[in-house]
Amino acid sequence: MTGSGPLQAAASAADRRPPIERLLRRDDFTRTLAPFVHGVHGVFGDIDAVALFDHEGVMFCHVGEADGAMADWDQLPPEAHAVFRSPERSFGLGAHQFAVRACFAGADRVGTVVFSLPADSPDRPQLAAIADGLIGVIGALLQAGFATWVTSEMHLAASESNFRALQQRNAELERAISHLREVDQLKSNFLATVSHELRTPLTSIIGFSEMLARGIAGPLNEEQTEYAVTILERGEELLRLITQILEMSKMEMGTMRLNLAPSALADIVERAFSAASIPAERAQVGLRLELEPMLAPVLCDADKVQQVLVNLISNSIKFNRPGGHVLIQAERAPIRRPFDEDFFGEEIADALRISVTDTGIGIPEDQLVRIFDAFYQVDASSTREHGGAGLGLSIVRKLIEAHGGEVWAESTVGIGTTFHFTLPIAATPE
Amino acid sequence: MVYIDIQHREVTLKLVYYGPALSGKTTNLQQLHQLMVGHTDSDLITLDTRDDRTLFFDLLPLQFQTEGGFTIRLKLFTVPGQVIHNTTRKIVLQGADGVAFIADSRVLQTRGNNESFANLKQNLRENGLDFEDIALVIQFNKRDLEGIRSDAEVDKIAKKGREPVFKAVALAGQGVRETFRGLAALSWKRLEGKFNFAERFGVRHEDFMNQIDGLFRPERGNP
Repeated sequence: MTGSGPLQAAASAADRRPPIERLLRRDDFTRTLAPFVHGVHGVFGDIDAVALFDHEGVMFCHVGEADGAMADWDQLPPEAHAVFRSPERSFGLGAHQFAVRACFAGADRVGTVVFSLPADSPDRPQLAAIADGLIGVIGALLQAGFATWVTSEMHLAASESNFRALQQRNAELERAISHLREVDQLKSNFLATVSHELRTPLTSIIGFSEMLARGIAGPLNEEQTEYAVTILERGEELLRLITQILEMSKMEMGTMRLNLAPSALADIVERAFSAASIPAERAQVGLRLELEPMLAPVLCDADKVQQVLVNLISNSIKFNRPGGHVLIQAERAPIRRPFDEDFFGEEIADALRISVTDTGIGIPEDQLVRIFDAFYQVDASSTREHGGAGLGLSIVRKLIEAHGGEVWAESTVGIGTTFHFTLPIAATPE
Repeated sequence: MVYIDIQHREVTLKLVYYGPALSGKTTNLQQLHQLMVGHTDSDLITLDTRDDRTLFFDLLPLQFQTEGGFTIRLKLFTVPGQVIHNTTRKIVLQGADGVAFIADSRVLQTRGNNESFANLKQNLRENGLDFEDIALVIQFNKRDLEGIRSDAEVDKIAKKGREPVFKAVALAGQGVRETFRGLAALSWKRLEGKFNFAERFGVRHEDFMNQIDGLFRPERGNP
């Protein structure tokens, strides 16, 4: 596309004939010319009225006494049109002599100025010279107005063209977003289907390797048993991973359902601890629980919260040091994470804040936000060392946010990390 | 910052009503405009369009002459409270002489108030204005609703800062005048300290405040 930029628009603005009211304010005209008009504030000569007519000959502005020569004109008189081609460009009418001059803005004639003088004035021989002088002043006013007009037209054109460009960009972005959404949906569907299809054969692998390992299909020697157990363990690991991916895609598709019920946090923690007890023992990490007595029940899906806790606890074990511990605490707190500004007071503590603290390697400050992104790992090499797909915390966040809570982390490298999450307190029937 | 035109003996002050979304900033200005009928020729310029939310700002220009023949112009602005309109907020805040922070008294809105207050501090800083230096008053609005901070709690909060605190029901016009008066007085005091209006232009603080009070209709003025 060519020829539609702001410069072209401004050029075309310059080609148009600007209306005179956009070039000159009546006030400015009156103020500038009053000193030259006798009987108003006039100090120079006998000119007793000056009038400006637009390019169609309609009176635009008049300076002179109320009963002056042109005070009751609203149109440029035919006599003025007639004298325009004569060398003097002046005519007599009644007791007055009139001089007529054209005025321009840019290349266009935008109006006509008429000067009047009593026919018997001694200034009459100078009328042409005075008219030429004053038309120069008016011309300068008009040119200044014209420059402003072109500039403002250019600004207008530029903003219009920017606006159009932005609109176009917006439309493109909207198209791109809807395309991405579609693709994202397809990805989630694909993940759901694939992980479902993967689980079916995996069940057989796990089932049959377990039978082999237990010797149901006949006795195995020690080495064969070890192989079968390895197949079984790896199979289960794979199953967990696939289950996580399936869950993630379910959440992204929005098909996850929460069975909300008032639940006691202590029970959920206990179940999570028993699920994590074996890996904790293996890593020589102690599991500790410090709950205030009489904690209010939380409104949650107990299975999902247990899953959150298991995820957080196994992370805390995974990145802990031998001899370290994982500590779970809970207290009443606002449902939102703490905010720096508290001038207007504390928020209502209508939630439980559950904290999982470890004595592990810690997470650098700049990574603390990103760890909740799917497939993100603080250090890619830690994937090899510690395993996992980087989905755990992302699932945790989705589950907690589905409950209306928030999850965040604090950490000191080398000392340990604390994960906090909030859950709403169940309303007590009164 | 204040605009002083010595040649035309004119001082222009910019006062901004700030606060979280739906706390009643526009209502404050509308009520002021109502209360001043007959004393201000200018209309309240409101740019609220979609859903009656302020998208850009509202502007109430006021003007009066002091005894010494000095013209004082006050420009009252609101900002859009919605979090996403921060750019607009920052622009409106540019060069402000005084800020009235309109807080929602409901306890549930505490977070919104705190976030908006932090946002005010940050935007002042980014505009090169000093939070400690600006004339700031605080209004606890919506005192007629359920679930609000008690008067005792508000008083306790008020003691934490040195900002004057006002209680209001802007929809009913209560406290609107007092807040504006407080804001005008404090803004003038700050500027007086800086520019010495009394000595340089013969505009005294009482004179200024008398004119402010004169803006309100007597029959609806004092509670």
